This record gives sequence, C-alpha cells and structure tokens, in this order.
Amino acid sequence: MMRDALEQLILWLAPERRKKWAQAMAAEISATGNGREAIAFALSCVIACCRFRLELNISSAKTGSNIVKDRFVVSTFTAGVVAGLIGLAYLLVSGAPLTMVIVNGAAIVVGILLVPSLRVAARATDSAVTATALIGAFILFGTAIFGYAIEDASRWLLIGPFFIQTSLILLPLIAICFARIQSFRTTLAVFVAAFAMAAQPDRAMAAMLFVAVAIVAMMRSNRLTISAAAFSTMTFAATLVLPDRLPAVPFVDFILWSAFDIGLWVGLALWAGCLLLVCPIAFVPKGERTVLHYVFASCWLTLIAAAAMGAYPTPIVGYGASAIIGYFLSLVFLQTGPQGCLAGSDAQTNLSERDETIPPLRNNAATLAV
Amino acid sequence: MSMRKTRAPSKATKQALIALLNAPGSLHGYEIMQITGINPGTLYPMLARLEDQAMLASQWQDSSVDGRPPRHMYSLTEAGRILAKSLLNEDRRATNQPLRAKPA
Repeated sequence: MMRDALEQLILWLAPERRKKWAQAMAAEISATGNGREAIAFALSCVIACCRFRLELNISSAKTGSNIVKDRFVVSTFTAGVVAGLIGLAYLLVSGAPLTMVIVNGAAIVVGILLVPSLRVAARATDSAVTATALIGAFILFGTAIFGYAIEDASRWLLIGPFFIQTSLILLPLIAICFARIQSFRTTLAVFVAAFAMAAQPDRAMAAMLFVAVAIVAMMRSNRLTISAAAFSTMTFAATLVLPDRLPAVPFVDFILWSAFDIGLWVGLALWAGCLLLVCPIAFVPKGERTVLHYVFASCWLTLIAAAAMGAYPTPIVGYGASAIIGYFLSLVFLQTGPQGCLAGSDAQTNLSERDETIPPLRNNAATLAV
Repeated sequence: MSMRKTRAPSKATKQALIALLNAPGSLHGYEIMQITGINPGTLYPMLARLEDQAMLASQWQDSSVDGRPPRHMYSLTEAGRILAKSLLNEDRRATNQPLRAKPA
C-alpha cells in the first residue's frame, strides 16, 4: 500500500519533462517487491523527483549557464548598491552640497526599485531590443541638435528641474542591444548614436561606444559589425579633434585623483567603488562569458578610464545620480538574456558658489542634472 | 552562443559510467544502484543529465515477470563509452603512479 502511494507521489512530483524518469522509477519500485528495501528505494526516488522539481524551478531552461547568469545578476546588483554607497560616503566626506548627496541617495533607491522590472525585461523580444536601440539613437541625435548646450556641447535635455544627459542613459543600452542583435537596424542605431556623439560632442561617451562596438566586431565579425566599428572609430576620432571646453566641476570631475587630497583611504575607496562595477564579470567562468558580458564590463571600464583621464564624471559620483540609475538599468537589460551596460550618467546638483567659469548646468542650485 | 564549461565528472558519475561500461548489456536503475551503491535520489537525476548530454541511451524493456511493468534499461552511447574509457584509464594511471620520495 505504502509502495503504491510512493509510486503515485513520484509520478505526481516529477515535472513533465522528467515524466519518463518517474515512470522508470515506478517500474523499478514495482520490480523490487514490498519489503523494507523497496520502501527505502521508493523514498529515495521521491528525493530524486524533488531534485527534478528543484532543477525546474532554478532554471526554466535547465541549463547551468542560467544559474551562472543569475549569479552575475546578483553580483551586479550588489556591486551597484555598494559602489553607490561608497559614492555617497565620498560626497559626505568631501563636503559636497546636500542636494548632491540626496540625489545620489535617491538614485540608489530608484535603482533598487528597478529590480522588479527584471522579469519584464527578461521577456523582451528581438523586435523590442531593436526598437530600444533605434529610439535611443534618435533621442541622442535629437539631443545633439535640439538639446541644451553649454560651451558648444549639446548633451542635455531639460525636463523640469532636471538636466538629463541622455547619452549616459541611452548609449550603453544601444551598445547592449547591438551586442545582442547585429542586424541592419541595430547597426543603423549604432551609426546614428555614433554620429550624435560626434555632434554633441562627447569624448567619453564616444569612446565608450567605440570600445563596445569594437568588442562586438572582434567577437562577432561580419560586414555589419565591422562597418559599425569603423564608423564609431571615426566619430571617436572626431571628438578627439573637436574642442571640449567644459571646465572641471568640483566633487565631480577628476575626483579619482583629488580624493587622495582628502585622505589615502578616501581615494582608494573611490577607486575600489568604481572598479567594483566591473567586477561582476569575474563571477562568470571564462568559458561562459559572452560578448554581452564583455560589452557590459567595457562600458563601465571606459567611463572610469575617461573619468581618470579627463574632466568626466565617475560612474559612482556624477552630477547626481544618473550613473547609478544607469547601472541598475543595465542590470535590467542584462536580464534580457545578455548584458547591458548603461553607462554612467551624471546628475549634478548645484555646487557651492556661483563661478563665472562654471557653466550654468553645473552651477544652478535649482537644477539637477540626471 | 557561449562555450559550455566542462566540469570534471563527480565520483558517483564516474562509478555509474564505469559500471555501465563493464556491463555485458544494458542495466536497469536498480542494478546500477546495487553495483555502485549510489542511492536513487542521486542516481536518477545523474542518469537524466547523462542522457541530456547524449552520453546515455535508454529504452523500455518488457519485464520477464508477468504483470510487472516494463523496465527502463540504460546503456552508454558511443560518446559515453569514450568518456567512460578515458575516466577508467585516468583511474588506472592514478592507481599505478609510483609514489615519489618527498623532497628533502
């Protein structure tokens, strides 16, 4: 009687995909008789079915790489939170305006709130990915033409009190979309975005697109990726030639070096916080890494390098919070299969006293650049 | 899209593969359990994975006893035999390796 009940339990527990194995176990139980040995065998088979069920719940695709991917997503999320907190700590220690601290703190909260959208993003279809790339590219183009300009740099959209540096939000998404799908349309998006970076002009973001697209071209070499890489190389070169007159802003630009003036540990912590954003790739075994992992990591690494070399914000302490939001957004797009990388965005709140040399965006107490 | 990482088979997997390699014909689950001592809770998920990886073939075989359901029989595929042989050779090499004197 007990043996029959266990057989029924086994057949009920096993997921559809493993039904054959449940039937095999039931057949073995029938063949082993009614003794204690058969009951022990049956109980152990119940455990086997529980493992089949667990396997189903851990990963709907039942592949090891999905578990790895989850580990990558978890580590990306953790890195974003920790790096954001390090950025906040820097702002407090360095005596930055309270508004900046509030905006950065709020960004971490917003980023965490984005996490539930992981499930939705995971269902993104190829056409949705393509549409994201194209819409993003044309917004960047629109920003270059109609956006808010400071010292000939047209990088911002003014929405209410917020100055939004669109490239910091959208360019990494375009890079991710291109890493996922190399079609005519996503290549067109890369061309438009690269042109927009040259037109804005923005060296850091142009460099980011160049590196990301070059990685895609190296790992998935074809006519489309090579042409995209060639064009983004040209536009990046153009930004190097075009003048960038935006002055460095306190608490934002060159802080990877100036933080050491506050203290050795402050400088080291800031570097550690920035590099933490790139670390999640280390949680993916080398054989499991895809072009998306590399694009994700390279986007953030390029932003850090730009912040170290020029007057560009770090991903964790920008003019405010966009970089942090961008990072969490990239986490959302990572879940769509591969990786996303949302480049750092800057948000800035007002900075100390007004200075004629500092552009209004970076100075206005009432504005928050996101 | 990506290369799959290959992991070294577990001790239980080795035992099951070698048992199937040495068997004159196909084996059913209970027999594998008796030969290797692996409990069914581990054995069946492992066999399922081996079949997913095309290392194992399975087929239903009518029971010789009337009234009993057919049994599920397992045998190695060609890929499974190659893997099992390499594991067996590995074990033999490890066993035959002479002990080295400790460096002074």
